[in-house]
Amino acid sequence: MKPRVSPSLKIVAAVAALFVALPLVSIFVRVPWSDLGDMLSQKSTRDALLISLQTSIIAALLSCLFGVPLAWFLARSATRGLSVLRVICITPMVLPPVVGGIALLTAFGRQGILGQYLYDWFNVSLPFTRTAVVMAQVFVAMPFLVLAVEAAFRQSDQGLEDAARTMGASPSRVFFTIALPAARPAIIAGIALAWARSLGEFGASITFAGSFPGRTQTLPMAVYELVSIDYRLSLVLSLVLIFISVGVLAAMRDRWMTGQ
Amino acid sequence: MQTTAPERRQITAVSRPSDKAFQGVVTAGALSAFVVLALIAGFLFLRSTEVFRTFGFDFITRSKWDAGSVEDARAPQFGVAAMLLGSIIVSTMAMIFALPFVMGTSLFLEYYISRRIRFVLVSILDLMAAIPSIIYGLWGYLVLMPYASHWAASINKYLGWIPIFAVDRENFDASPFVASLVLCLMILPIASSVTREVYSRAPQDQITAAYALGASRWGAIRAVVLPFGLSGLVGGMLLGLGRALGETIAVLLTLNLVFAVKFQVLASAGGNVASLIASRFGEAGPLELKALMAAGLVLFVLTLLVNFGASIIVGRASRSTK
Amino acid sequence: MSISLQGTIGRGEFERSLNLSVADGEVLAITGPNGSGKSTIIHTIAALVPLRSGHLESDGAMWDAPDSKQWVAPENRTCAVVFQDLRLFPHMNVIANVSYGLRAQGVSKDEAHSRSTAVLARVGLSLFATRRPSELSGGERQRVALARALVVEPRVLLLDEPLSAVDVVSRAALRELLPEVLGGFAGATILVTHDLSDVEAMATRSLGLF
Repeated sequence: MKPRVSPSLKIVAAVAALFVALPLVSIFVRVPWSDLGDMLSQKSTRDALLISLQTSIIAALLSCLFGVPLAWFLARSATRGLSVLRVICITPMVLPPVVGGIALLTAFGRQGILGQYLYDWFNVSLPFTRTAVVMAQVFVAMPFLVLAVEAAFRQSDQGLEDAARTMGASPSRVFFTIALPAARPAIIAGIALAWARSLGEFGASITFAGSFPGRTQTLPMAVYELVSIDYRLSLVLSLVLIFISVGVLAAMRDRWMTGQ
Repeated sequence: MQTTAPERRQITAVSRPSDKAFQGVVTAGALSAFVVLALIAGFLFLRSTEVFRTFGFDFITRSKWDAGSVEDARAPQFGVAAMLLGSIIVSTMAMIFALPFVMGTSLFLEYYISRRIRFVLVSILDLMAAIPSIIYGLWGYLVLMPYASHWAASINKYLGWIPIFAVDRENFDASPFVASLVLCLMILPIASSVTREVYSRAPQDQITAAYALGASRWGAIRAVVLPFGLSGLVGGMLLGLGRALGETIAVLLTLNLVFAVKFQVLASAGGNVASLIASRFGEAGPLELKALMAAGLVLFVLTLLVNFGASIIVGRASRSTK
Repeated sequence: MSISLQGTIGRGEFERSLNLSVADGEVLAITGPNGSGKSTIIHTIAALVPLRSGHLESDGAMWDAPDSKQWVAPENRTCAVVFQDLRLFPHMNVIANVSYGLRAQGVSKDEAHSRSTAVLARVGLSLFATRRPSELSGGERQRVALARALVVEPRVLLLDEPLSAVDVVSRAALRELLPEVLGGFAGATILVTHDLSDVEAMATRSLGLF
C-alpha cells in the first residue's frame, strides 16, 4: 500500500529536514570557530558548563530513583484514586516552568509552607542554592521519565511475573529479575529524556534558584545573560549545549525511539 | 484458548520481612513523590488566593505594572491584562503559523514517503523537541529577527491599512510577529506527533475504497483521513498551545515587553506572562513578588484549561479509533 | 492425599463447582472444551486466581479458603506449573530459566547450576543450555518449560496443555518423554488437555468438564 517515493518527494523531504534543522545549522554557521578554545576556557563559561552537567546528571539520576518506583506503583497498583495520582504526577509536564518554579518557592522558600519549618528547625534554606537547581530540574523532568517507564511496565507481560511467582520468587525478586529487565530500554530512554529536559531547563530554575554565576547559573541562564553582552560567547555556549543534549540523544536514538 | 480472563489477584499473604521492606520502599518512594507534588499544587493555590485578596479582581483587567516609588509617593499598581492578552495573541499567532506545517508534516510523514525516510524525519522531529528552548530563542534573536523585521516592514507597507498590521513607530524588531514565528517552530514536534498518531489510525479499508472509486491520493486523504483525524489535529494543536503559553526564555529573547494593551502584531511591543515572571523575579520586592505569583496562577489556570481540553479531545479521538 | 480442591471457581457464566483430589503418584487428566475452566483450575491451584468459595488444601496445609481468609502466596506453594503459553523468560538463557526457581528459593548458585544441568539432560536439552528461548523450536521450548517445573521438585505438578503448541514431530517425541517423566514423579500431577489420546497415554484417572 505504501507508495514508491518519487525523486521530487525526496527533495521535499530533504527540504523539510533542513527546515527543522535550521536553528541548529544557523548556529553552527555563526559560531566563531577560531576563538572557540579561548572562549571555552574562560572561567564563567567553565563554571556554567560544570554546574549544568553536575545538576542535570544528579537530576536525571534522582528522577530515575524516585520515578521508577512511582511508575511501577502507577502501573501495577490496584489502589483506588490512582487516576487522580497520575494527573498530579503529570501536571508538572503541562505546567509552565516559571509557574513550577513559583510553586516550588511557595512550598520550599524561606517563607514557604514547608520551607519555613526547614529554616526554623534545621536552619536549611533551599532557594537560590544548587540544590534548588536540582529540585527544579527534577520537578520538570521526572514526569517524562515516569510516563515512559509506566508505559513499559504496563506493556510488559504480567504472565511472566506470575510464572516467576509460581516458581517461588517473592514480589521484590520478581520486580528486580523480571519487570526491571523488561523495562530497561524504557528506563534508559526515560533517563535520557529527563536529562535532556534538565539540561535545557530555564523557567523553573531561574525563579526557584536564580541566576548567580558560579553558584546556580546553568548554561541556558548564562546564554541568556550573555546575549546582550557578548553574543559570540553566548553562541559558543549554545553550541556546547546543542552538542551535549542533541549529540548524546541522537547517538542513543534507537533505544530512545523504542522507548516512546 | 481459554476465554475466561484471569481475575485480579488479591494478595493477603503474610509476606517475608524482605518483601515487606520492598513493598515499603516502593510505596514510600511513590507516595513521597505524590505528596510533594500534591502539596506544591495546593500551596500555589493557597498563596495565590491571598494575593488575589490583596489586589482584587482589578489584577486581571488592569495593564499597569508599577512597583511604586517612595520618593514620588507613587502607590504600587499591578495588573496583568497586557501580559495576559499578549500571551494569548502570541500563542494564537503561533498556532495559525503552525497549522499548515503540522498538517503538512503529519500527512507527508504518514502517507507520502517510505518507511526509511519517515524514520529519519520522525527522529529529527523528536530531536527538535529535545532541543533546549534557549537555542530556539537565540536563533530567533540572532538569525531570524533581522529577516523577520524586514518581512514585517513589507507587510506593514502594503497591508498597513489593516489595523492589526499598523504600527505607531517604525520599529519591527522583537514584535509579537517574531516571537510567534519562533514559538511556531517550537510547538511543531509535539503538535505533529499527536496529529500523525491519529492520522495513522485512519481506517485503511475506507482509504482503499476511496482509491477503488477512482480517488487520487489527495482525494482519499481529503475524503477519509482529514475528517477522521480532525480531533487529533485539534488536540495536537491545543497541546502545542499549552506549551506556547508557558514558554519563557524564547519569548523573553524575541519579544519587547510593554505594559499596554495593544493589538499591533508587527510593532516592537507585546506582552507575555511567563516572560514577565522570569524577567522581574530577580529584582522584585515582597509586594511585586506576590503579584508575580498571582500572575503565575493566572497562567497556570489558563494552561490547565487548554491542556485539559486537549486531553479530552485527544482521549476521545483515540477511544473512537480503537 | 496430596491435593484436594472443593469449591467454586470462575465468575458469572464460567462459575462452576468442583470437587477433586489427587494423591501422590497419581496423574489426573482434566478434559473439556474451550472455556470450560480447565486453565482456571490450574491458575487457582497456583494462586494466580483466588478461589470463589470452598477450600484448597495440600498435604494438610490450607492454601486457599476465602471463608476463613486463609491464603498462601504463589511463591510459598509447593507446586510447579507448565503454562499453556510456556512463559519462558525471554531475557535469560535456558539454564538461567531453569535455575530461576531454585535461586529464588535460596539454593546456592553452584548447586542450582548442577541440578538444572541434570534436569536439562533428562529432557534431552544438554546442548542448549546457553541458548535464548527465542533461538529454540517449539518442542525445545516445551521441554525447557517442563525442566523448569521439575527442577524445583514440587509436590504438585500442573501441566496446562503441554502438547498444544508443538509441531507433529516434536509432539511424538514429547509423547514418549512425558509419560516417562511423569512415571518417575513422586508427587501429584494434574494434566489439562483437550486431546483424549493424551489421557490414555499418561493419566491414571480422568475428569471431564462439560
